[in-house]
Amino acid sequence: MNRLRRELLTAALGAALPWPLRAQPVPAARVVIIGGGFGGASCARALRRAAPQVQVRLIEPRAHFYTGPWTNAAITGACATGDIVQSPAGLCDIGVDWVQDRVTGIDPVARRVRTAGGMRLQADRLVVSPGVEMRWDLIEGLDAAASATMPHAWLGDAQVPSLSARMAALRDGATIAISAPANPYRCPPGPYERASLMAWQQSARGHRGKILVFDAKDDFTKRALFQLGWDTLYPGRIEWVPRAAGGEVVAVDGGRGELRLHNGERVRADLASLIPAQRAAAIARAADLTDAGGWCPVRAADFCSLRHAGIHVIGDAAAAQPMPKSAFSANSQGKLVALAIAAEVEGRPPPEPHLLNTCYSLLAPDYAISVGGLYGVVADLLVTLSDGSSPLSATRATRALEARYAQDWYVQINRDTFG
Amino acid sequence: MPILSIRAPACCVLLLCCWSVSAQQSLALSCPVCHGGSAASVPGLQGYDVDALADRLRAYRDGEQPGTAMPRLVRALSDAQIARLAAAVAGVDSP
Repeated sequence: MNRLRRELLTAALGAALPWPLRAQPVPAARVVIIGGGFGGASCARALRRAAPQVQVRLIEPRAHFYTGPWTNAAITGACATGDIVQSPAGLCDIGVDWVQDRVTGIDPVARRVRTAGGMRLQADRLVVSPGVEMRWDLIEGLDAAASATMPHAWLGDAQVPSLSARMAALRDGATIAISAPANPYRCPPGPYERASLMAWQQSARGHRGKILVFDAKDDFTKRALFQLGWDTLYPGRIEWVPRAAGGEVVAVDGGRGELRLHNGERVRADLASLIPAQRAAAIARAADLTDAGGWCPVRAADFCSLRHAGIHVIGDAAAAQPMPKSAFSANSQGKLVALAIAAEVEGRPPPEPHLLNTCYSLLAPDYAISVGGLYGVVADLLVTLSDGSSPLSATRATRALEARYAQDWYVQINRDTFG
Repeated sequence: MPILSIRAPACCVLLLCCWSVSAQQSLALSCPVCHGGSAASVPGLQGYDVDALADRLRAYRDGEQPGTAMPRLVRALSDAQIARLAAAVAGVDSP
């Protein structure tokens, strides 16, 4: 008998005495999901369908948030910020118990969760999908206040409309600086899609201008495809400065709007969007689920924490390389974990651990590139079974087709995840 | 003026068949992320039978069917894995 079934039978025996007094049947298992983004919401939805007898509670304090995907389109006016708002509320329609509250503590041994609203929740299985937090300790002068003057717009919060408004107000001839972090971080192509769509917005408004991308690394995903697209669509407008050329931002002065680079150069742009380095959200660290690198190590087959039994970590917080930290990855991981929990509750063999990712990047509203991969488990390791990206030689018609796919993908992944 | 429309058609039909399948197939559950039936440009999976789906997946894998995202996702799958995936997506018992 597996461990969860043994635990559940013990719990059921304990619950047998007051049974006639209960208004509701005892659930087969109590699953508490922390975080209602693409990982948590996808897991909740899949679990309700795969194991309706399981009680699913999802804790997410935000009634609404901006999705990471398409944030760059929203801040550059390619779509409205209102078009990328999501909510966990739709999950209630399928029987998920959405607790609109903030988790203040997790006991990873007892699997108890405490919330700011005073709730104490006991779980048979915990699914932790809290996303990322920004690191303020790597760039001198960078803190939350300085960040507000150089919005990252990376966490689905008020910085999204803030950066959108700042973009809309830019003058002709403006210089924009984007700072891209070291790996790993949420949405690897995001900084470069941002540069592309900012250039598109400048061009569409008939503005001259310059976009400087200062990077803490020497390469980035789909680099050749991005640079080919920049040369084709926005010749001379976007300049990428890698780490080796001193491009890493090492200090900021929020008051003056100034960046200091590793090569000593000081840059004052009309608008800076500084995307800080990241790590798993604070609640994961407080729950002792992170390693020295700040991410949550997991078992490849079912994303069980390697640090505490009975806890799964999914989405951007998990150390799930080679999968990128993307919405699709989180969605896929959420479904795998749902099937793993359902199988355990019902005493069936675990699911075959296959995971997918596909990410589109818009370089213009009618020009997109993509990357995707199939992932599996070999020798207990998560590995890439096959992957690929758009060919460098693709025609403009294919780029336009991928842009239509990107739009449809965005609609569909939201529907698949949030309802 | 926003120029991209990302609102789903109101009449879209959700693909639910994947949920009636073998619970062992986590891969099948990822298909509706793109092929859920609400998209104008990406085909839904309604109406495919097992053999047609398996044929199409094998064609993507073997380079006989051109595509953008699909070939890179199925290149490593064996005939048996494709057969199980097609059965799961079509909502029938795995062979």
